[in-house]
Order: sequence, then C-alpha cells, then structure tokens
Amino acid sequence: MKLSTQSSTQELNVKMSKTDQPVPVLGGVHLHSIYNPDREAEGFISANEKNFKEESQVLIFGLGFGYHISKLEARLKALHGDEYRIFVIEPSKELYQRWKDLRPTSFSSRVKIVQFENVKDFFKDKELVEFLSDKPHVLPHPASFQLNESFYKSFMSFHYPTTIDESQFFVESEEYSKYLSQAPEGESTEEIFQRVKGKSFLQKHDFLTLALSEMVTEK
Amino acid sequence: MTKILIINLKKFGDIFQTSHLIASIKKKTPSAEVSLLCYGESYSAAKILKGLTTVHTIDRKKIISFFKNSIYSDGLAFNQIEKSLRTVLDTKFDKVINYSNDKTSSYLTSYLCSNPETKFEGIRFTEKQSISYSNEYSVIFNDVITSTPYTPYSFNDCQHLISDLSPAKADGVKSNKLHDQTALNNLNRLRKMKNEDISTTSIIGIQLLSGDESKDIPKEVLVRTIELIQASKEMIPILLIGPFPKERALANELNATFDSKLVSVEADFIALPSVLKSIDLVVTADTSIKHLCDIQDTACVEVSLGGAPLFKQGSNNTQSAIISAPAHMRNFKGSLGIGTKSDEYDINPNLVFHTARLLLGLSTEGFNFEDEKSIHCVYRPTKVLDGVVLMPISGPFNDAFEIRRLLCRSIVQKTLKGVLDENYITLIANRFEKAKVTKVINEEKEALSGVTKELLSTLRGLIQTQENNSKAPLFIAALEKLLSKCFDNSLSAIPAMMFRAKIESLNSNSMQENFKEVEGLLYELKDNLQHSIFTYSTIERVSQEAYTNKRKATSLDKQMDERV
Repeated sequence: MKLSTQSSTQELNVKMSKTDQPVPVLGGVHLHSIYNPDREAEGFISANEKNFKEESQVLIFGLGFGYHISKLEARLKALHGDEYRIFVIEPSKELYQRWKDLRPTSFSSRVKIVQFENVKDFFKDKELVEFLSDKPHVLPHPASFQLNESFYKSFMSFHYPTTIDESQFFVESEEYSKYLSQAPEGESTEEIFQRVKGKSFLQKHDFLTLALSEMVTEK
Repeated sequence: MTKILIINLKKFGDIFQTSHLIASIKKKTPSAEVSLLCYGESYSAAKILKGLTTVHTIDRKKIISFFKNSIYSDGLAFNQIEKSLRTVLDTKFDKVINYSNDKTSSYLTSYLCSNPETKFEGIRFTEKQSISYSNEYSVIFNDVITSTPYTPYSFNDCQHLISDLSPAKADGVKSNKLHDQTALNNLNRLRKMKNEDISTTSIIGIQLLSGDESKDIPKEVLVRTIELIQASKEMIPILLIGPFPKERALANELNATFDSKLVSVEADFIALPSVLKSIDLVVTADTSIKHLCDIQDTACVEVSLGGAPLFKQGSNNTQSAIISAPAHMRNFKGSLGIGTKSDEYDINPNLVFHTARLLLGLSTEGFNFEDEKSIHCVYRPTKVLDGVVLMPISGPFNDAFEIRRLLCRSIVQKTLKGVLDENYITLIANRFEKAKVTKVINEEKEALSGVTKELLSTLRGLIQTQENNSKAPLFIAALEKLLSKCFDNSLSAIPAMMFRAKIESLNSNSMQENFKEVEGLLYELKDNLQHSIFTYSTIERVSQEAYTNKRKATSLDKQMDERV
C-alpha cells in the first residue's frame, strides 16, 4: 500500500524565526513557532510531562526540525538517566533531508528517526517494530500530525499482510525461512497452521510451526 | 557431562515445583548440567531456583502481541519463536524433560529432539502426529491422572517416576543473606513486642490472594482467622502481599478493619524467600507461595478451594496440612459444586486457627475438630516410598472414596513395577476399618469382572475379524464397550485408561499390524487386571492382619486392666 502523504506533494520552505532558528514551512504550514521554536517546544513537552514520568519509551509522530525532540530527550534523560528511547516517524523525505542538511538540532544515539513514505515500510523496519512491541507512549507533534493526519491514521490502523511470503522477510534463520518458502503462494498464517496440522508426516520445522500455533491460541 | 533441559511452560507455582525434580536429578547425577526453558513471564520465579545452569525463555507475550496485533507481520512471531530456541538447539542437550506436558511443550520437545542423540522424558509428538510416551509413567501422567477422580500420583511424584528418580529434598531457593538477616531482625522485633521471650512467639504469614478468585480464602474468613491469631498469646499475624495493586488494596482494606494494627509485608520473589525463612507458618490458598513454602521447608496451612488441584499439586511438605472439602465432593474444574465460595460451605476460621496451632505444636488436642456444620477435612502430606500421599486426617470424608483414592497408587505401582509397597498398604489398612476396606474390595472385584468380560468379548471379536473381515463391526462394538469402562467410577477404570491411551497412539502402517498391536495390548490389559486382583488380595490380607493385631492389642489392654 502506498499512501501519498500531504507533505510529499507540498512545497517546503525554510524561514528564520525571531530567535534566528530555521523553521520548516510545508504547504504554508509552519511546523514550529516562527517567534521562538525552543520555547514553544518547551511548553509542548511540559504540557505532556505527566506521561513521561512512567514512560521512558516515546514514539513521536513528526520530525519538524526537531526542537520538540531535543526538549523531550533532555526531559527523559533527567527523569530516567540513560534508560530511555525515542523513535520519530517522519513521512516527508524532503523535510528529513533538509533537517539533515541544516542540522538545526542534534540528538544522542538513543533517538532514532525513521523516514519512509510508504506506511508498510515502517513496519518492515525491525528496530522500529521491536520498539513498538514494547508499547511506547505515542506523542504526536501537533503541527506535523495535522499536516499528515491521514498518513498517521493509516500508520496506526495498518494491517500487515498475513501471507507467508510476506512473513519470510522477518525470519532471520535461513533454515526456517527456507522451510516457510515451501508454503504454497499466497498461503496465510492460519492456512499454514491448518495445513501442517493435517500433514501425515511432520518434519523438524513443522513441530516449531505447530508449537507457535498452539502458543498463540492457548488461553 | 550430561546436559538436561527441563521444559516447563506453566506459571510460578509449577516453576517452583520443578525445584524438587532439579534436586533429585542433581542427587542422582551431581555433574549434570540442568537448564530450564520457560515463558518470559515466569522468569522471576525461575531465576531464584537453585541448581540451574541456564534459564532459557520464550517471550510469549511478545509473540502473541506480534501475532494478534494486525500492524505487525506474523513473520515477527515466526522469527521470535525460532530465535528464542536457537541457543537451546545449539546447546545440544542429551535429554529434554517435558515437564509441563501440554501441547505446546510437546511440540517443542519434538522440535528440540530432532537430533536423534537427544532423548526425551514425558511426551512428545511423533512425525506421524501421534503421541509418543517415554515410558508407562508418562501414560499415567497424561492419560490417567488427568482423567480419574482418584489421582494415583501427584504431578511431582509422577514426574520423578517418569525420570526414574528417587525424590530428593528440594534445595530451597536463592536468597540474599542481607535480606535474610534484615527479615529475621524485623520479625524478631515484632515477636518481642508480643512476648519478651521470642522463642514463644510464632509469626503466621497470611497470603491474601491467589491468581484465581474461586480459590481465594473469603475475606470474612481471613478477618476472623486474623482475629483469632491476634487474640492468641503465642501468635502474631502478618499479611503477605505481592507487588500488585489488587493485593495492596485488599491489605489496606483488611488493615482498616484492624485499626491499621496489622503488619503487612510486600515482597517480590527475590525478597520473599528471606521472609518465609523467618516466619513460622503460612496460611494460604492454592498459590505459588505454598510451593515456595514446600521447597523452603516452611510449614503451611493450605486452604484448598475452587478448582485448586489438591491431589495433583497440593502441598507436599510433611510439616503442612491442607484444609479441603472431602475429596469425593471436590469439583476440580472449579465451576460448580463444593470448593466454590458458596456461603453454605465457607471454611470455618476456627478450623484454620486450630490446624495452625496443631502444626506449631501449640496444642495437643488432635486434629478432630468438632463442628457439625463444617464439611471441611484436614489432609496431611505423608512420606511414602515413592513420594508423598495426602492422608485424610479428620473431617467428614468418605471412607470408600478415600480407600479407592489411596489404593489407586498401589494398583499403578503393582502394574508398572511388579511389586507392591507393603508399608503403604499397611498405612491404608491401619487408617480404615476392615469392614469398609472389605466392602470397597468386593465392589472393585465385581467391577473388575465386568471389565474382564468386555476384554474377553473384544479378544474374541478381534480373532473372528482376523479370520473374517465381515466380523469387524462386532469387534468394534466390543472395543467400544471395553473403552467405556474408562468412565467407570471404579478402580478398574485405571487399567482401561492405560489401554485406551495406547490404542489411541497406535501408529501401524497396515491393518494386519494394527490387529497384532491391539491383540498385544488386550493381553497386556489382561495382565494388568491380574495386577489389580493381586493388589486387592494384598489389601484384604493386610487389613485382616491389622484388624487381628488391633483385637489382640485391645484384649491385652483389657487383661491388663483386669489385673490392675
């Protein structure tokens, strides 16, 4: 599924704020305050403060030029030491590139920016998926979210295809991946479970597949 | 060096129970390297077990999350399970013990035993999808214990028999010496507040909640029990709670009833062993704490309610006692009947208090507790040759049911080992009146002749079918009748269940081979019925001897009295 984002079709400009900091303007929408991006970011993080006391893993929707991310990182570090992680979802390639060129903000290695235009590609990013499975706190950057609302809604309600050929991408073991590649084309996970249950002679990886089938269905 | 992997995919209590098996393996083979494979959510219990080289985990929560949440590819679940087992597979274990014996663990056993040099104990699936049993005791574990109301062995005893191990004393769990000392100091301070001489004060830990509401001790019973303990001169109650909001809330609620005078101790599995070491007795429902008490040698009064699997997984520490509705009235599925928290059958707090006092040696009145309204009995774990049995001590239990329940073990013993533990038979004979034993044995002999009749019809049907295929329906009908004996309430259901398990796992390639195997199994069943007959004759004889000895003793007493 390729979802065209609002930002990908709109022109990106960069203006300077009163505090002399670059502010991206996408399709006429200012992604940060044109007066003082830092102060605005500070206020945004303070308004969400209560969420970070117990949550040290945060998923941010929208990179902008990263002022809010810098403030969030400083807050999380103060609250949790080095035990925090931030992932940033950004659908605009152009915005991401411009941020890299200008580097108006910088973060530690505990912050990861993930940029794709296609929703499915985000869910193919193993590091991001691993992070999401820990159920992080989701923090939409208001201006970015507003600009790409339909993209972020699609992100949250995405359905990954359940066919085995799509699954294979995630299987690191060559042996198990080879076993899965023998599934008939277009076979779904439910179908492979049923087919293996009906086999008259099981092989090593069939047992693993059946164990998985039991594990995900047991009460 | 032998490398052994135990697969236990159950929860905390079962993980603690594995400690007995680990200790027995280590006693038999001190150099063995024992590892455990469990779910990630049980790791907090597994990591405190002694004797383990490695604890491998499967992050089931993550696997389920990957699978159930549609934003993720199912491939992540496939990858996660394979990845979790990669190091296990690479370790090249010599033996895999399927401890939890459920479907998932059985598939995993098959997967991990794909190397022909890796042996297994328990059950696994064969390539043809039938069940493979490592020995006859694994048949008992999976097909008898789970089906009969009489439970010949607890899971722990049966697991030892599957692995051909003599039960060794569990080695306790890991605890921090500093925590041990702090807990002891704090609790001694508490003892001193009651009596200057701390040796005269016992601390009673009250575990508030189990993971299942139907098993919980009702709040009113807890309150009354705490009142009784508080009022006694020699006992102090403390509330034991885990780090969970629900337990904290109940502790606060109870404490409010007692003007905040109760001490409550919140501890996770790292700190709890230190607390248990320093208290004298624990009152608990069917919880993981009771298993921890068993391996730490802390006495407990287990209040077994709801679907708590009393005879499969009850306390096995001989210093403990279990309060339960009589065995014949228990509904182990926990949905209906006695054992649920109906007001009519609520536990009498005086019984809990009285039992605790007896276990602590604070009373010599004996376990006979007079309460006409109470239907609850006291059972006590008693050591026998091949493990621990729960002997009925007091209360309105049903003699016939209890005789059958206890005798069931002897039948399996004679069938599988060929010999009977006469001391155990004597224990039963001494516990029950001869007339009651005789009545049960007569009924059982009659039931056994019913099974024998069906067995002979089936054999006849099989022989006729082998000669003439058109007779097959006769054979099938006779076999069905024979298998229906598995649902009898008599002990003859036990050999029938063993027969059924083997029939169901037949794996032959041709009809002829199948007939041969069935014929073999029918003759094996015939032999097994003979073992039952032998067991009945033995208990009759021993019961008669016990009766004669008692009469002799009574008459001697009389003579002595007359002389005096």
